[in-house]
Amino acid sequence: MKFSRKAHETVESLVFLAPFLVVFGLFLAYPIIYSLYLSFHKVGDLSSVFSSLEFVGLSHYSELFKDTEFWWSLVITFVYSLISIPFGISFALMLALLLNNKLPGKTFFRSAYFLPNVLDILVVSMIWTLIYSAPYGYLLQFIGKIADMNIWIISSVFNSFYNFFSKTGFLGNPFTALPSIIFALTLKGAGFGMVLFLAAIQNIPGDIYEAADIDGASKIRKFYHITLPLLKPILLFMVITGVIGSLNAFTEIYIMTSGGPNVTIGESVPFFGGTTQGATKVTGYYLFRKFRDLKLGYAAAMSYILLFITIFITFLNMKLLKKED
Amino acid sequence: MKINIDREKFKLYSLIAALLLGLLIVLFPFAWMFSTALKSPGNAFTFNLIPEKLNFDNFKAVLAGENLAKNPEYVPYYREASDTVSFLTEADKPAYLIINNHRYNTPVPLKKSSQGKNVWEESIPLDNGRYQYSFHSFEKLHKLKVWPDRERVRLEAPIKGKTVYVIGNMTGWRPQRLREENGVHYTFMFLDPGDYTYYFTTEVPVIRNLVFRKTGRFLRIEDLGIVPVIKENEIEIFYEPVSDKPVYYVTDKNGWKINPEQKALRYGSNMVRVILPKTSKFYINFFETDDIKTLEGIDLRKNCYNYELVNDRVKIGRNHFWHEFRNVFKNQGNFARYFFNSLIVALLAAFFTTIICSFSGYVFAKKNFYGKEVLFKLLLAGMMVPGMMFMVPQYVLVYVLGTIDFLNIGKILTSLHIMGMNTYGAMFIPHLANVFGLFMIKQYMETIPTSLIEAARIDGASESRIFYRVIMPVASPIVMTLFLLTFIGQWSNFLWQLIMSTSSNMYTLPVGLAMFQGQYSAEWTKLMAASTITVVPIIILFVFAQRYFIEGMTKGAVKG
Repeated sequence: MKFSRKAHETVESLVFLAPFLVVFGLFLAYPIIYSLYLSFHKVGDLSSVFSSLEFVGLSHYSELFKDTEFWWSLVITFVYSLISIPFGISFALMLALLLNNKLPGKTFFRSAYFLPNVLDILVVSMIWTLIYSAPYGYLLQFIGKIADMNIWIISSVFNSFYNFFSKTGFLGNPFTALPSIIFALTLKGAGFGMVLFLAAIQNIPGDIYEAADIDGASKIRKFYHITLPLLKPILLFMVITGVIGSLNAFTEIYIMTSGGPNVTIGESVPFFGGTTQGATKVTGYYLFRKFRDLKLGYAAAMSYILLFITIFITFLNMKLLKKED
Repeated sequence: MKINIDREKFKLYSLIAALLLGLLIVLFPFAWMFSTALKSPGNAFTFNLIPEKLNFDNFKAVLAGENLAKNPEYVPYYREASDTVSFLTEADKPAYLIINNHRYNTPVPLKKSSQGKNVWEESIPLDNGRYQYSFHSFEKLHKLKVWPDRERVRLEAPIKGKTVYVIGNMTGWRPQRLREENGVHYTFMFLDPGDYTYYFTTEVPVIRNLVFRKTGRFLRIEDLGIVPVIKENEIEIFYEPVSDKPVYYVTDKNGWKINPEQKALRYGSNMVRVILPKTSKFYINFFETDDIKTLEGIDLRKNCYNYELVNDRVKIGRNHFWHEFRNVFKNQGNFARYFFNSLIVALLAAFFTTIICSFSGYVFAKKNFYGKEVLFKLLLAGMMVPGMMFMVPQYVLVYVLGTIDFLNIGKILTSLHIMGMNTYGAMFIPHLANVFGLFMIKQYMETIPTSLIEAARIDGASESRIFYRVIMPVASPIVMTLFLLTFIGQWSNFLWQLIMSTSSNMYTLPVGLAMFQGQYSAEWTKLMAASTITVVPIIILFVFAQRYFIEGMTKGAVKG
């Protein structure tokens, strides 16, 4: 009686699954639907969220499409991923290639580079905030020391660096704020990509390289024509997680810049002209700001748009992956 | 042949050197953190990475919740008789006032006040406006004349110290740090021709922002509020609300209880006024709300004002945190408490996550039931949703569950710390359904031979017995991995715990740190001591269980 066996197992399974499904349903599945409901309503007061909400239809969405701050935050998020992903990947790949040699203390290096990955992103952001700060931040002091060394042109270059950043620090300048944040986080996250790349490189069968050696291929050619194509799945994985990571970026922005420094966009710029925007205000942080102002309906609508962006990017990635196969 | 070997060696050494250099850069922030945490507050800004003396005071301070609040300071007041503003400060050396008013381009010497031995005072006429002022004590005021042919001036400090600053009108009377070389502190300045006055110091004066309006005769000082007016038997305290909502106040005199009668009355167009009987010392805090019920569960002492009356002069401080009250409310608002909170939340989260993920991972790996494929795909789809998306609805859900009126369920859930704002349960229960963890465990359990389970079943073991006695022991490495990963995930969870905890005794380490940074951003050594307390447990865990961490994080990631 196969049928009854399966029915019996279904009941058994449900007992085991119950705790997971209850939490999943209540705190993950239901919120996604509830968020959609919230996005069509105006939430005036938290105590009335479940009793009486004013229905506003699509007005949150239409407001969002006109909200320059929201579009700006998307632009910043895009720039964030545009800088952080290539930088992160190349740094991790470089480390993996260096470690993929015969050398003593390999496991030590692997673990030591991986260590910052498990540490608190908040603490890392906080440390870097102080290092980047002016005028006593370590980086500025370091630059000042080099400037004082009196080495011909280096001194004058570093001196102008020192003078340029001595008032605002690296996070107070709208052009360096975002790259500085990304640099700090890349150093933190590099070990993760490194381990992924290292595992993938070691999985590449050695005879492919041997064949290339027979053909007389140079090291660089071997890297571009053998190693890199075989690492494509990892590269794509890192791009996707990078994009999702930048859409979720919050803690580092909250701690390091709070979305600032503010810049006034020139009149000639289309759409944003004349507005004042935060140079590091990514969507994650903007969403939090709206949430903190208790504009829950608006924040819910925004998170729905972010969801669609994520789905679109994931879909794009799957297409790309399929093409490869 | 010999040359070849040397080349190999050279390659190896340069490889190791490159890796070590990279490691130095990657781990530098943490080295700097340890070093700063061990420095004394006075040496916080020094370049040296090795502290001369190990100093554990910072750790003691943050673990005990030491009083970091600045002592109340004298505030300027308006003298009606002479139409002047009187500035007071406490100093053991003659003190000077710098105020950025065109009339006072040089320091104004203060006179000994009748207030007390170390109090200095001077009254000056002021126009309506915004000012910045600071008090200075210096040995000697240097004068400098810059001629048109000189543009670069070298200033060398005649005083010794770890850090030396130059303060003068060339820097807008703001301290500028000098560079140090071989014990000599100096700087180069590019100055326009003209006359300058400056002095050297090792102490940085506090610069205060002041708004003075003669009409209504009030002075507002940034961070400290409006200067109160002292009457015969009472004291009038003013507060500028930022919204149109009613303003309520609480004081320490009635035990920090809020009641509807403590409503501050409007005074003028943009202020409220509270009249209190004259006492030498008191604390007060203001809240703007339509409904005082929203203040329930909030730490009413946070950011309160602290007043002290000395011979009809006012001193004001701002108590950003708990510190003044540590004798009354033991165990509150210090990093020992935050550590405890973090530990509880992370342990409970890791424990329950591994249990429910093992249950469901086992079912997905070894059972055949209706809807298995659909359910699994649904769960995987849930993994794609960005975490930010859940913030709003989960917050509303927790809030609502904690305030259910029916049968007092909300109160019961909150008091049992299961659900509701400021409960341990709310900090981790919403994150228990870890699809990534489920996936990881399912993958691992699929490799366990089914014959093992069949054998146990033939022996007459029950389902739960099979799970605990057969499956769990075999799957222990992956269960351990998930436990550790959940533990560190919760340990460093910030956003969710930030919005879940409004009361300082429920803060976890990251939230406590962020709040601490917000209030005491200049206390670098203590900030870094608190950061060290946050990361060291994880570093220790990592050192002992690195295999679990690295494999768990990377293998699962790629397959997922």
